[in-house]
Amino acid sequence: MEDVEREKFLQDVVSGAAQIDYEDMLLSSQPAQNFGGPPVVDDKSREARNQALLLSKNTTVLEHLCPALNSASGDLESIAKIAGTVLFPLSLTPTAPVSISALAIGALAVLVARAGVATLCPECGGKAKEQG
Amino acid sequence: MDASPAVLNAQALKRMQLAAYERAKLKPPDLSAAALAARDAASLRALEPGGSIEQAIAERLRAQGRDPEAAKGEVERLREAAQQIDQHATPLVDSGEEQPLCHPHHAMILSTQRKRLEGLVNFGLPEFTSAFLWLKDKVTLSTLLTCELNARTFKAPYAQDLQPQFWILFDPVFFDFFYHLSNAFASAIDMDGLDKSGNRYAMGDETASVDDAIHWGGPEPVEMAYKMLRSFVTFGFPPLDIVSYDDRIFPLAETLRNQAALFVLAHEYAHIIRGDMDNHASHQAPWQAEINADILGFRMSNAVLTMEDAPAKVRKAGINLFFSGLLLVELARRALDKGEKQRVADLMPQQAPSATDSHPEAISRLCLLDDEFSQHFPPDQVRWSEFLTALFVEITTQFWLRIEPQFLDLHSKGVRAKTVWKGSIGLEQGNS
Repeated sequence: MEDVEREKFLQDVVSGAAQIDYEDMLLSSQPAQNFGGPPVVDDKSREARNQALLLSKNTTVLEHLCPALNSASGDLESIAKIAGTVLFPLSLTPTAPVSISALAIGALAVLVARAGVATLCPECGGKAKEQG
Repeated sequence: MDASPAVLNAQALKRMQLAAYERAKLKPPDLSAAALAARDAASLRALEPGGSIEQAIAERLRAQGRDPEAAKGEVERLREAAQQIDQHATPLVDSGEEQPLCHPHHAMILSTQRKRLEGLVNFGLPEFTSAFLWLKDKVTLSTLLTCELNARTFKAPYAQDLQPQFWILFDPVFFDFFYHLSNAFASAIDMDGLDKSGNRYAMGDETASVDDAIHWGGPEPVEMAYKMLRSFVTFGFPPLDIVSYDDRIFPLAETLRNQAALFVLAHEYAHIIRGDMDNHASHQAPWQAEINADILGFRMSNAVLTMEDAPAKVRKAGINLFFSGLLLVELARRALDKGEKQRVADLMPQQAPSATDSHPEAISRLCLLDDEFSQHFPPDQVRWSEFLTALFVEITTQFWLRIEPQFLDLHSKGVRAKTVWKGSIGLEQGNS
């Protein structure tokens, strides 16, 4: 049962990372006209982004995440999968230091992919971001 | 071995396209030739006598207490209109680019406009030559389901600063919307009348009227303008209930929508050329960047049409169509949301843009481009272009005067504008 839950959680993290990445790309783009649609970042996404910032500064989270990220290839999906796998047990802990949703971990993965592992985990000797 | 920036960017684009479908709660469509042919065949079967569409219409008529036999006539009319669309469809030519998430017709339109713009390396203007030499192999064209009538330029995430890559992505609904709009406008334009009265106006005859260049020729243009606007603005889908047109309008309609796509693509290229996509750019107000992109985009699309020997007097036709479409959408939305009568003139901004405003109103952009045109062409051509702009604004106004009561009626029934447009993909998947 836990395997199924973990698999579903991982899928949600990967798809959440893609959603946050999509929103960020959309915000940085130049549209041909102002269509006046709904806001690109909705309340749920904004909350997840705030959670991700808290996660990126939380010692317990970094202790779990940084060693695993050393082997990440640098692409968003790979980072999201690693982050989801490592943080899934924490997400189940009622006494978790911060709220950990799949979308928040997806947002965290986007932060890591953008800044590079070395920025999040300076003491782990992770790869600095080379491109983009 | 690490993947190359090109591979990483292709993966990133696909990931973004898939994320867009997920956000819109739609399945990514199968756009392979076999799947498209199967969908076309299914649509034809549905339109056959006694097919699912006739049955659905009959059921609706029965529920309304009307004669279900009338469904036969309605389906016959739809079948004729669908056959006409097929007959006039541009044959598909492989764009040579592998784009599994871009409809081949959209890829073909974009690829054609790109080739036209890239031809500007030979236009003879050093500014264009250097820009398009630098842009070569740096721009990927595709579609992205943003659920907006829009096109957007992105800086691709994986690239060195000295070798940036860009994506220009049109929402598929852009093609849906301007297909129907161009047919409605082309059917309202009397080409003979346009030639005669345009020439008279160009030569200084102030009595020449745009009314002489408009022919309604039956209810089709207004009927279609209403059906398409209602469908897009209230459902976010193209109209299901299509009408037949005079066969002669199709070449003009295609020219108009291709010119509109050319201008919008040129506008997006202009953002790249002007450095608006640079991370450190933007000391100028966003609205100023848009106006500058409009002007450079206009200059580029005008240069393309010059190279193709299009008469100067009609080179703003596609631009006029684009902005006329935006005006009609805005009028329909305001009518639905406020329930008040609106005129095109009401869309003129009442105050100067503030520093943070992005895109000026469509009518302001249209006027600014007329000013730009007037600075580069002889007076008779300027007057011709003014006449053409006036014609499009008049058709927009006349369409609106005729269909506004129906929108106000929709408002009174509680119908409001939809700001998420899913186009034909949403329609095919029965999404609401």
